[in-house]
Amino acid sequence: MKKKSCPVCGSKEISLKKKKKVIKDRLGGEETVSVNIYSCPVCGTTGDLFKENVQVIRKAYLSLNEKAAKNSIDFLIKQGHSLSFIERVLGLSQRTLTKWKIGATKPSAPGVTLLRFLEIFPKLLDVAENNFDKDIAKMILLEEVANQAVEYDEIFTAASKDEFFLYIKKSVKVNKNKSSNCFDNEIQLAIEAQ
Amino acid sequence: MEEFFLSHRPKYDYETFRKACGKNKGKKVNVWENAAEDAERLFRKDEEALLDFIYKKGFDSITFFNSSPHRNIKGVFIDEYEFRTGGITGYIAFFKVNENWSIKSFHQSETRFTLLGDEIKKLKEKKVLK
Repeated sequence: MKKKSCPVCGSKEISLKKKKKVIKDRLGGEETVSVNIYSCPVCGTTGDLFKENVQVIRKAYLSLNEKAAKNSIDFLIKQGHSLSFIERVLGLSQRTLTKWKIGATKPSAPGVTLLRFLEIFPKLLDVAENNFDKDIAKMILLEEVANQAVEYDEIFTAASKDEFFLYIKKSVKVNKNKSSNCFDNEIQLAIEAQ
Repeated sequence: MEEFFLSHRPKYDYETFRKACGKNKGKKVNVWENAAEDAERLFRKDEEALLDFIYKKGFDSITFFNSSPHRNIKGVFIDEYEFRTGGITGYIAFFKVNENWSIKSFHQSETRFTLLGDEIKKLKEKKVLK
């Protein structure tokens, strides 16, 4: 077999190390692949000098992307959303998500990114359900902030909670019939308390 | 002796480097191991995708700031650039030997300017901040 030479300086002294590389995806988990790393002692160049790892790494990324999509779909189902509901509000063809979930078709890159957003911010489904109305989206955002803040009682006293719910009510001028209503009780109580 | 001093003019034409990143899927561009790993961490892009990103003018801006001699190859200089993409400010260094390009570094900047840093600088200039 012809001995490889360094593409940078032409030295024949290059050495090859096979390394295990862990590729991680926050939502898709991780995969370990074997890669070739060449080093040239003459010019110091180190890396995949002959483009041998590109396909292996790309395959791992695609695989993790598919796992991330499946995990996100499972998460949304566990949250109580039906796939047909998600497909409807996002304008996807019916059964698209089912096909991605069972591996019948591969999810597109933007599709996976959308699912990543939905797993982190499931409330985006409410925004879509309300036809991307900006005022309602603000209301949903503030409700979510309140939801999160309630979990940290030490920074959110009962009095400041009331003020906050009032602020939501006053600052977002939306048609109440259209708005999401998960905080209506708290808002009503706060108004009565005033 | 002149070549051992830092230079404030690029040794290579950036456009030539950029085009090399896209030619034959960047066959003539080597990405050093550390640079490839940093690019994966920063951009979630493999080596080929990184070269494609550079070729397709993915950076919002790219500014030359230094050229320094290669430690191991006499007469070869490494051009250093600061780039911006979205909210990230980063650093890329590359050089060319025998028609082969090498990306020696590619990482997020920690010491140089950032968008927030720029805003603070502006406020200081306006004497809003001390």
